[in-house]
Amino acid sequence: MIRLALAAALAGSMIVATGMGAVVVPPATILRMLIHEVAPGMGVPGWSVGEARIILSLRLPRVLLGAIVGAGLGVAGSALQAITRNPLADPYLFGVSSGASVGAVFVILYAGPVLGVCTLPVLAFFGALGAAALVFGLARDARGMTVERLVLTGVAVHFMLMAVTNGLILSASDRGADSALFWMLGSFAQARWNLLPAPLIALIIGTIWVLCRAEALDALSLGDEGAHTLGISVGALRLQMLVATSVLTGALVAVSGAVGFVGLIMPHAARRMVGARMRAVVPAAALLGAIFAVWVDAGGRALFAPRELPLGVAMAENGGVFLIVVVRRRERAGL
Amino acid sequence: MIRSLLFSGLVILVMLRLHPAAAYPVIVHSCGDTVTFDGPPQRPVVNDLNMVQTVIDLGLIDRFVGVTGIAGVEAHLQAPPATIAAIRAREFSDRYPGIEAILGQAADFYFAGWGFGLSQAGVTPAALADVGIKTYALAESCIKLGPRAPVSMDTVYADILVLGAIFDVMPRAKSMVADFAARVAAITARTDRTTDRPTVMYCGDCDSDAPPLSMGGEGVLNLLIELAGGRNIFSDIRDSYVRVSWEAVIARDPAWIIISDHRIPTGRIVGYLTSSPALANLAAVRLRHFLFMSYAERSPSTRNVQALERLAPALHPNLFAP
Repeated sequence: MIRLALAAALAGSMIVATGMGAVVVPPATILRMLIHEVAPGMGVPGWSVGEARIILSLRLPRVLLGAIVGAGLGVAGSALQAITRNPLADPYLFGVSSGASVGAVFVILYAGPVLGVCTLPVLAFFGALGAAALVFGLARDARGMTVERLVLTGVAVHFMLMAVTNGLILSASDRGADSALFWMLGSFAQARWNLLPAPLIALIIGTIWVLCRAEALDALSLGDEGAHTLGISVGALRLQMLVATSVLTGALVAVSGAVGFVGLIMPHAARRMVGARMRAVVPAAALLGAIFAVWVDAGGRALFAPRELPLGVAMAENGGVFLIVVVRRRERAGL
Repeated sequence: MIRSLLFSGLVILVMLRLHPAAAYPVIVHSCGDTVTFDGPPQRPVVNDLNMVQTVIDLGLIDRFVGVTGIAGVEAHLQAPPATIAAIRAREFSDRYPGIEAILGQAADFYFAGWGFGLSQAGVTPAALADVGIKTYALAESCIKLGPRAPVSMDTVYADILVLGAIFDVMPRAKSMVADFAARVAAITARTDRTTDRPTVMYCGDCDSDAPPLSMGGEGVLNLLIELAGGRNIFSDIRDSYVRVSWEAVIARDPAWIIISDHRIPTGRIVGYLTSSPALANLAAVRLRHFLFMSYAERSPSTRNVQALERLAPALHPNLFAP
């Protein structure tokens, strides 16, 4: 029931948000525009060519990317908080965002689009996976890996890669440093239709994978020993989920930069709404993350137009307030 | 007419104020700071291409002991090859320098701008003053500190006259300003009263779907567009260089796009602009109305008038028909 309401809210949010920005287009016009696009004979076009370009080429892919990234971060955050049993775990815990930054900043400031328009997302994606692989490699030893070692290694690798990124920015003579910083703060502004398939596929596969292991993840809340007595191979489960969330987060961060807070906060909000069971938490966190990202991006677009500000600015502001509200309400509820 | 009279009056006022009988101490204003010079700087340093161009054009480059922030783009300087080679030899930092690098040249003067080598988080005039280095910041760049008088040609002339006063080459600075003022007047005599004002956009970083860096109403380029009889589509933003959204670009539909030939190859920028489906309907893209400018032409320097003289006939071919 809650899930259905959230899905409806997401659909409504996306339609309204598509109309918001430098040019305001009423939802009814957007719907007519879409019908016209599918069946050109239908209806009278009551919009300018510019409006059509803005909505069809820029806004729609942007809103869709916002929803995909928000949902994906919600899923990844839920899974990571379960396997680390740490409410502060977020999808960037294992250096994924800083690894992606190294790749993206290298393309922006040094290499240029040598492989065409996909150069940046591809290098950012491999940067993200490289970072995650480095963390898992360093955190493992003969006895497997403990959560504590994994988290601390992630923090260390994150700081090292941020240092590499900052070094790259500071040693570039170009004024392109500004573009690099813009990318690092996360944005959906570069969304175009051809950018959407990769993160969408990652979202679908990642979500299915996490949902398939939902019962096992629930058992982890009993502790490693407890889960083990239920016949769950804790080490294998943990590694699987780490790979799944890293690939998912890497695919998202490669196209949008490091959009913060969604992956950290949405699992908390979801648990408050639907309880702690993963089968319920994951879809709820995905829908909440999508709604949140779509609205924060739309708000930023409407508020700052004609300027374009990185999403990170508005996201941290809203995310911080949202987290405080969630925490305070949880305390009042005596949880 | 009245405007240009008023205008030359302002220039004369500026000259009088800055030129107290060609004698030191010279007192100049730099973004709200007052800087006193008891004699011409002995070891001056200049940062970034536009300011290096200004120093070259004022005939002062041989007196500068250090140059920074122009690595890889020296070829864009308008100067004889020998001068460029000499400048390259004096380049002590290939990027914007820190205080230690400037101190390393035993410098006593730094010519830069806010966002052009000065930043509140890094090198500030106050921090340089603490180590005995005086600073002059581009008048246009004061906008990065807060509101200032709206940008006008006087903003450009102020830099030239201040350098003339500091280095005691006032006659040269004055004749340069007089020449510029006459050339600007020759342009505005034709463009002043035109009611047909084509829309213009400055498009920086325009080689990808990432949002472009454009020019608001407080940069020299906005002024040049106005004087040339055009209208900057982002003149309502009270700032100089700002990042804008592509959807705002489409909504405001520029008839002309100004492209910088600075670091990103112009072919790549034109390639992006002409192949992006979202931009296909822009007037500037349909008509291939692209105008290329060098870094010195679009940022405050002694090459702004030259840029104006190229921009105005492009926007208004019939007003400038021979």
